[in-house]
Amino acid sequence: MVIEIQDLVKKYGKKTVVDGVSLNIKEGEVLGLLGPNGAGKSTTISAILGLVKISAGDVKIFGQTLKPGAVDIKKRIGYVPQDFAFFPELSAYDNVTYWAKLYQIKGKDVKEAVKEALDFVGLWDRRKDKAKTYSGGMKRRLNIACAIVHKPDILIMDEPTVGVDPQSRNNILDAVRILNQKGTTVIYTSHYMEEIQAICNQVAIMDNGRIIAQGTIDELIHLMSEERKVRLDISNMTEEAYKKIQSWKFLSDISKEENEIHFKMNEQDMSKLMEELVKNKIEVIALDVEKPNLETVFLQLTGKKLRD
Amino acid sequence: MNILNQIYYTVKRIFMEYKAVAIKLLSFILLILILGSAFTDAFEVSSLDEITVVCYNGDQGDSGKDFLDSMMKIDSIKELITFKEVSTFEEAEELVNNEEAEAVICIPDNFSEQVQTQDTANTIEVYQRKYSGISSTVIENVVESYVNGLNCAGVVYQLQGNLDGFDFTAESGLEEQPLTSSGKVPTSMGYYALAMLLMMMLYGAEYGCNGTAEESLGTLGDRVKLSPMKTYQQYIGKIIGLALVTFIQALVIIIFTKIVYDVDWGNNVPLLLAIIFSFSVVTTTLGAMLCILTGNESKAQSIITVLIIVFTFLAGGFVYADFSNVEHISLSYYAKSAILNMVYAGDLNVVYRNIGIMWGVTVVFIIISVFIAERKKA
Repeated sequence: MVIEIQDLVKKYGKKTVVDGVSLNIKEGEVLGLLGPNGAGKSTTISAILGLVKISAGDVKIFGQTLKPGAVDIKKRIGYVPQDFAFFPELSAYDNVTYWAKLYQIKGKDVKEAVKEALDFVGLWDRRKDKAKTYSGGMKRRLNIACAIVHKPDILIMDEPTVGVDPQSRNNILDAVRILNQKGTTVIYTSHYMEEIQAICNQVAIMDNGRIIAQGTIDELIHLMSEERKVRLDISNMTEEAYKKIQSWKFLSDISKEENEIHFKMNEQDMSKLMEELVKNKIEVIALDVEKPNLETVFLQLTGKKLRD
Repeated sequence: MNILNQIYYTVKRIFMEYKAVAIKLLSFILLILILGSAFTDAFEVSSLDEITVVCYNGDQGDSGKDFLDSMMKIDSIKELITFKEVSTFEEAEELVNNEEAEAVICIPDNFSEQVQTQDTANTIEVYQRKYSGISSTVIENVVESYVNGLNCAGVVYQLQGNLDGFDFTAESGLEEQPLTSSGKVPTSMGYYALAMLLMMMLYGAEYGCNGTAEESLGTLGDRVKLSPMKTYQQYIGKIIGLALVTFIQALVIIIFTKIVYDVDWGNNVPLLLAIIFSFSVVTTTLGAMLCILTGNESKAQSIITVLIIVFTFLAGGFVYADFSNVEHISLSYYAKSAILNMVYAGDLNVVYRNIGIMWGVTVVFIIISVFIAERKKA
């Protein structure tokens, strides 16, 4: 385990922001911390990094508690905060150089590391421009470059795509994938389900300071009931055909909308449905079975949408 | 290495915003020009025009006449005052009202009698024209000094029975003294160059505050805390870097005012640099301390803005004023006093003492900052 969190509690006064979070992150994983705004994701990240004093519990990185003087551990961590954490008056080159030197990269290695980091995020050509002149997406990428210049073993990214255009978002997600392929363990917080689903192989869903579910995406989806929403588009829609479908007991919540019939059914009854349709000579134009995703998992677990 | 890195990037960052720095420096250079030109008269004493004084002697005896005659014979008084004798008080009054004379020295009619009886009920009176300004002060002082001299003579006569060895002349009683030991006097341009330089340097507290807020309160600070750099390296590097920024800006003002405004900054360059650097450090640590103390950049900035005005005012930065010991609470006072002593008075003890005080205050600010920061961590 590269990170072990046991019963982490963080209180601000009487308010409990993180309530008994336990997580184990293995080397090479991309853990997505998914939850709505205010779920406690950023506080959990801050607690992992020792940026806030925890109220209870235990956090270990590489088997040790992260203390201010733990230089060897600090060198192995990269942190991409939610807000921009660089100097807007300096160029991208100067910014990344500053962090490279802070992470004790020396001599010729500094130039190489800076070039590699800026190339990686696609900012090498704009390296001489002041950071404050960059677009939101470019600033996000520079934020990442500053965090990876020292080639960390763990990269902790706190909502790194907030407020960026889709193209920059895709670039950032690609970057995370590549870093992970190179062996970097990543913790990625987001309230965008699509991002987590796209890059994470482990997911922890947070709400109200607690982890309400965790596992791989497939494991989480399997937590869902096996009932699926189905849309059936038929060519010979008659009152008789609709009544027939209504009589099939393995369907529920049946409704009609022109040539479409919507209902819920158990995934295991799919073959039964096919048989009945053929037997009753109902001509099917289209059949859609809604696949559950993390959004639906979240909805089912909490009764609310991720972006509520 | 981390400290040097921190210093280099701190200085570089601020000077990368060269437009903001240039505007700041230009505004102070302009202020020096405006204030220095506007208050020239307050610093340069031009020669006084001759003052006409009317003498009315109402005394029936000889003492009044003797008093006036002997006063009019003193050369140093004659250099300042032209006497005009009149026979009636109304005549004297008319001359003053017509602005032909500044004042009337009036000897009362029983003056001789009083001298004999040593009665002090009626005295020589000086009537002045309204709003006559410095002239009236001169007359008042001349008459007062002269009367004092006579009193002294009286006492000497009573004690030794004669006036042997007593010489009441302006030359013996007064000695011309320059304002400073080196004989140099600050010009208005010189005075306001110093005042505005110190005010500009007080803004170094803002750098201290911003720098501390950025690296202690914000996300950037979180990232720095996660880096292998130690807290003391971060703090020292930041403070020295920010102090250097203020120091360099101060040098620009000094060089500019020396070349363009002909301001005298003295000949002891290393000592001047030591004073300026000490003041840069103390202002920077003040800003850093206020930021840590309040835990809020905006609040700290507001306090700094007030302090800049108060410190500058107390140190006589806006108008030349004497606030007695109250000015000691102003940080600017120590730098101002050190520079004035170095350039004009040549009293190096005061200079070294003030540099010491500034470093002492710096240490206090650092201790408070560290103490508060540690308490907030806990």
